[in-house]
Amino acid sequence: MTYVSIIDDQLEPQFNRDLQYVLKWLDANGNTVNSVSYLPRSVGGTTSTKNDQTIEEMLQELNFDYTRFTLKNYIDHVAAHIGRHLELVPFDLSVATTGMCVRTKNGDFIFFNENRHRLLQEHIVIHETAHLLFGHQMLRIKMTGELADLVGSDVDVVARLRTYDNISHILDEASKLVDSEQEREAEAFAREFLTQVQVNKRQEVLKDMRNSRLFPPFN
Amino acid sequence: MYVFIVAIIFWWVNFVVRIVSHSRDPQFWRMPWMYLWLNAYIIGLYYMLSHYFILVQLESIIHPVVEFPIVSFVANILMFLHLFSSLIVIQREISINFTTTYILLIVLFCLILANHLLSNSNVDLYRRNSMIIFTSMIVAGGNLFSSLLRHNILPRNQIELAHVMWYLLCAFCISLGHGLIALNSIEGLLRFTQVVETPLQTVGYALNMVSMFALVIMVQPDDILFRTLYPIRLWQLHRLQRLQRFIQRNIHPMEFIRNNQEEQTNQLDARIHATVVAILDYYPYLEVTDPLRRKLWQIEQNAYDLEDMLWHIIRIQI
Repeated sequence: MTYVSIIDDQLEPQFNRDLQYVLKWLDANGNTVNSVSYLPRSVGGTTSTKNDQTIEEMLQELNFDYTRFTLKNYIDHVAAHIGRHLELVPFDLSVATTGMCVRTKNGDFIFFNENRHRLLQEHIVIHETAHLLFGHQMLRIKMTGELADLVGSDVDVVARLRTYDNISHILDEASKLVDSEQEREAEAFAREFLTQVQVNKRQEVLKDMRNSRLFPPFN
Repeated sequence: MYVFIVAIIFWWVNFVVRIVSHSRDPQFWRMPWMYLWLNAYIIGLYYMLSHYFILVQLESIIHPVVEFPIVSFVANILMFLHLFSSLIVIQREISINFTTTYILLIVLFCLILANHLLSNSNVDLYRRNSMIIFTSMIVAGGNLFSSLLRHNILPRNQIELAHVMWYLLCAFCISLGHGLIALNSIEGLLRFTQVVETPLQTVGYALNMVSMFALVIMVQPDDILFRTLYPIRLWQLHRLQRLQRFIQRNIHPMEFIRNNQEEQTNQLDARIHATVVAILDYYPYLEVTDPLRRKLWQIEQNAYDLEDMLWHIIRIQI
């Protein structure tokens, strides 16, 4: 797991506000936001990143039964796979932040915009889990001002945001390239995974029906 | 004519395969499955007997035994059975009263019976029957379609769309085909000619063959039907991508980093999914007063799944 350090006030105001709310929620729910030094060296059972794995290989390794897909089943499956507590939090995020994965001492929390369509929510959650599964770089956000008062000035928040491409301007060239590639990988993973869910569910339906609706009204 | 016979053989081989595969399924023997399949077999039998040449050949084989034109009569009974059963199944599903239509069909059937009893010539019998059958199809089909439209029975998913599409093609071709044959019959009766096979009649047969093909597709398993939708799904993708590009042009010049089209897979399902997600991701950045933003917001609030959302999004005019 690699990290890219940034300072919270470099973030766009909307992200900053979302982050504040998320940290307040975590604090209110008794979750200590870790500094990087507290993080386990091994996440997902290995110290190396899984960036060399293809999406197909990862899907195969994950071995999820697509016909049983619900967000809860999926999250339980991924949590078991990476060996860490993983929790979904529907949250009133701004339109700029569709999803956010925050690492704490107790586990990983995936925040997703509760006001968006279920289809997008599923996509966001799977996108965020892809970062965890592939061991993508996380943002190590140095807290200042109000946030520092909340989590402590010596604490860095470790997170990954699914947003517009508004972060790249604060990253150095090398990190920007990695971030962009990893975003694409996570996006492709979510797309492939949900396509498999859709295809498998359709196959189940097709197998069940075997054409019973020859004439109107068809349903 | 030989093309017609080949088409019938192809049709029946396919149908026998479907009967055998279905007979193993216990659900097949239950209503409304059995009803629907019987209806399909009835119309299949009718196709076989609807060609004048085949009709005459069969009559000549049977004629030494029975004086009455029995093959023609059986063919017409099959067509009436199909019309009646189609109305009954719709009446059962959407509680519509078709009493007037039934009475009209019974009157038309009596005309068919009288025609069989009174006709001396095969040509005239065939021509008059063609006209009566066409009238019956218009009476039953018109009522059936207007009832379905009144009850707003629209396809809600891809499989239903495939059924509707092939059914409409089948119904359209059989109606138009019989319409042309009826027109040819009227012309023949007025001119007192004995030649049945005219270009108009041939076009009518060709349309009947298209209708037979549509029925063959209709009775295939759902997964095959779904595959026939590939061109429509390509068109849907094209509409979605057009909308995505339109949104892209109308929001701040930010990069669509996560949905780079070049990065996308060739699988159609995945491309449709990615484009819908991209639209959902970026439309909130349109101006608050933009009507497109309002429409997409309403769709997002009301659509229950991807397919439903897809149908609503592609109807947006830009």
